[in-house]
Amino acid sequence: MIEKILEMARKKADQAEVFSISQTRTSVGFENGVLRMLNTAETSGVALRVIKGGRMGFGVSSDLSRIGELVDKTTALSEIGEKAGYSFPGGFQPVPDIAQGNPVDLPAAKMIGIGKRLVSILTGHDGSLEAGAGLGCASETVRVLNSCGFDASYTSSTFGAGVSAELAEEGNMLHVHESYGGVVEPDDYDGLARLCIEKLEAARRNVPIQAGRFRVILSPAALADVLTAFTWYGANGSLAAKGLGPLVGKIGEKILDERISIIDDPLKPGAVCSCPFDDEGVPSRRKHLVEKGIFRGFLTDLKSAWKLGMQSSGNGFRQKPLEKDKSFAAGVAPDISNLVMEPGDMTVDAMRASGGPTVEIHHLTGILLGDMTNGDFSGNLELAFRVKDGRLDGRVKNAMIGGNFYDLFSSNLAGLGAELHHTGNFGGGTGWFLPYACLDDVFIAAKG
Amino acid sequence: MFDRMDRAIAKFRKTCDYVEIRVETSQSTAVAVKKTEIENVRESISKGGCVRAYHRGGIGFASFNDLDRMEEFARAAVDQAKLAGGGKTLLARTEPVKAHVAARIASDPRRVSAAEKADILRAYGEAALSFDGRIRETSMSWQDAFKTVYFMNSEGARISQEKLDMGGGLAAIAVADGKTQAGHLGFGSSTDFGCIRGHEEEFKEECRYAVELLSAPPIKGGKYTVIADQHLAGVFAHEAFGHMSEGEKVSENPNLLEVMKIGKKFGGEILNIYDTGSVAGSRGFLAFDDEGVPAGRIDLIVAGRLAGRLHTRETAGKVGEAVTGSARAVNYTFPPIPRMRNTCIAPGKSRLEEMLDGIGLGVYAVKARGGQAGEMFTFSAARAFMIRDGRIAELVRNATLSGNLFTTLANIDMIGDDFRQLEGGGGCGKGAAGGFQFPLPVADGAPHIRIRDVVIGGQ
Repeated sequence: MIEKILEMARKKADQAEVFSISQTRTSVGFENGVLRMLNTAETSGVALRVIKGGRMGFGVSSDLSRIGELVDKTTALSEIGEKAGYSFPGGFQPVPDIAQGNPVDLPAAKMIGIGKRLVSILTGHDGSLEAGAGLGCASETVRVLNSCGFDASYTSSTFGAGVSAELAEEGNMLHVHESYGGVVEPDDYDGLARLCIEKLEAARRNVPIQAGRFRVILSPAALADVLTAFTWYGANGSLAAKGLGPLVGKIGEKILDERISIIDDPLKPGAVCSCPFDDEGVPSRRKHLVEKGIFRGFLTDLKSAWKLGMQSSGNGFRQKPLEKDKSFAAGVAPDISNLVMEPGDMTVDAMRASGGPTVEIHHLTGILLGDMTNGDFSGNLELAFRVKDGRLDGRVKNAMIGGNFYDLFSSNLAGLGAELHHTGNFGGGTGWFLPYACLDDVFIAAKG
Repeated sequence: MFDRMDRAIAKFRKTCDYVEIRVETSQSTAVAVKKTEIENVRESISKGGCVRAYHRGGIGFASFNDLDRMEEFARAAVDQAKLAGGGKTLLARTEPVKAHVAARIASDPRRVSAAEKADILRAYGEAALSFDGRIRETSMSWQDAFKTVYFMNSEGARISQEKLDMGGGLAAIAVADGKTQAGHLGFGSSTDFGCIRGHEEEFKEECRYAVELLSAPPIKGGKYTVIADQHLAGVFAHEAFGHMSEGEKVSENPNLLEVMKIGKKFGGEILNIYDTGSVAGSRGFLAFDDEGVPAGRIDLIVAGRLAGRLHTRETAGKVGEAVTGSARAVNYTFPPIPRMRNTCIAPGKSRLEEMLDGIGLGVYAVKARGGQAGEMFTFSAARAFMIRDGRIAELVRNATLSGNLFTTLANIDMIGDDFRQLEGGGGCGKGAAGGFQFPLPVADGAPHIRIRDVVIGGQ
């Protein structure tokens, strides 16, 4: 069927490309300590792109009984479509196998058993908690086929597990969660519940915070949210092609503290965003985006690379905004695959031991609402702690952090943690590997 | 379509507490124009379905594209519900409805070519670029979707609904000295393609502010009395209060139900908030929700006291409240969850001048770029002006407002008499069991409101 679409389309256009994806997923969800829902999905769809007379037509369908209509509509759109002075990539050079281990395909009954144990650890700790858990296996097969001779496919499987605990009382709500995402099962499921309890206990007591300047420790998850200013905006080749963002014309220049190196690694074994080629058929490669503080290059897809006069970096992905899963219905845009930040040499204990006023942030909300194109961000301290005598000493809330990513990570960096943690931005993704980060002299606005 | 759904339901009706099937066919067009060039055009054809089953409190949900295998997926969902079940299925009662709802169309986007849509957008872009040399980038987008949703359940409901949804946005980006500032506006409708036209003056104003914001100072972080314009107040109603009114959390958490008890005082006598599916032409218009429940108006706050919340049949059944027609799913790949439709702060009696009066130092926050909420909410104003001695003074940038929902509602001390219904071009996103559901067509409305003691982030 996929071949037929290509065959029909190439007759009507100069170039054609078909992207197809089939996804299957099984998940189990626990709410308030009990198993609530089992979910399965078996979905598939195709995206067709044609280039005709230097212009692009784009059509998508989940109804393969209407492929004639898809081809006709898509080629018709190329009459008016965006300019596309580039070619789809040709024959595929196989890359080394990204060994993913054996895909996890747990039966629902086993996931239910694990979920039950996780919620029982939480409710065993405190019966008044609203304990939640979720586990899921997903598998997707991607195929890219184009009229320039590219035809390759791969299957990737991922597994995720998460726990959450919520306390609600008059004038105070507290939500903590921990999650894991990988291609294999985690070594220690119970550790997720234990971490959740640890955070919950540290946050049970609210302590006041006065507006002022603080040492700020960002957990890997909070750092991931802040890094969005770089991955979605600054390093985004599509914005750069329009001359937007603070990194335009800065390749080879120092943009961050020299202790910071950021790598896009789509070939990282066992990481959830690993893939042999991107969603346009460009082979994946590992590269530095920032090396010792120096900006090395943008994340690009075929289109933004063409506009910038570069080669695609192999970062053309089809994802809907804020969604982690690929979607045939989404347009291609540059995005990061697995992100790795090189670790520093500071322990979390050392970060907490400065003696000055210190806040440790684990979860921010509203981070996308700042003016991130410039690197400005602001976020609400959804889960943050006052640090006193080297340890977490109560939750601070009703406060906001704000600043410019490039300024803070050039001038205010006290150090990066020595260990990398598996995380992702906006509480998911999980193809990111980040340390704790410690910044000095950061302003926090608060009611006090 | 119904015959096939009926056969699958008939097969499993007696083997579980409840089963429903939803099938959707849709066709949509999206156009994006940057500067004067088409950036993206897309045609989309979609077909798919889902089965949801309840048994002894457990839920099974299966979604699929291959409608020929409907019965197989129904079996899977029923088996899953049985595996998950161990308690009691509590679904609030609703009359099983048989109905067909035809889309009410004033002007049909399907009769307009993608080229023509692009031309309309391009004209906005050209006007913005010629407005000021510092407007370097414009970005205009449009999307229309026509959907037919077939719904059938084991209680005898059988509803087909045609739904038209349209939305668009215009953005202008001003650049100087490596800094950028943007101006945006959105529009939408469920009946009228004409909503794409007539935004020239408003877009020009957005362009003017984008340029002025380039040289505006950032706001100084701190605690202020804030007057929010209708747009921002509407976003506040949606983000800060509407999401908290969605029934699933209270239905799972008895402590929260106590905190959010009906009748509890959250604000002053002047505060009234409601959610409605009944405003014709609004993107929040809905005849029946995705459980076949009629979608009318529900009061959420009356005279400062909690009066209701947004329910699915299950969340209503668990807390012993009535259905509200708020069970919505973005598409067939998701189960319905409690969602808003058109969320409004009802008008009060104050005039804007009265609200400004007596503010020594405050902030007039205009339009929202977006928001996010939990117990704490955050949203950013597109632009803000300082209020000095009761007058609107200089323009400032980067005003991000945040606060605790409960204290902020109590701090609303004046409500304007100038209610405006607002249709945005985007949609609402929400994470829940089953995944992140975005973008759901919604709308909001509000007058100006004044809030004491709002924390604004800054440097």
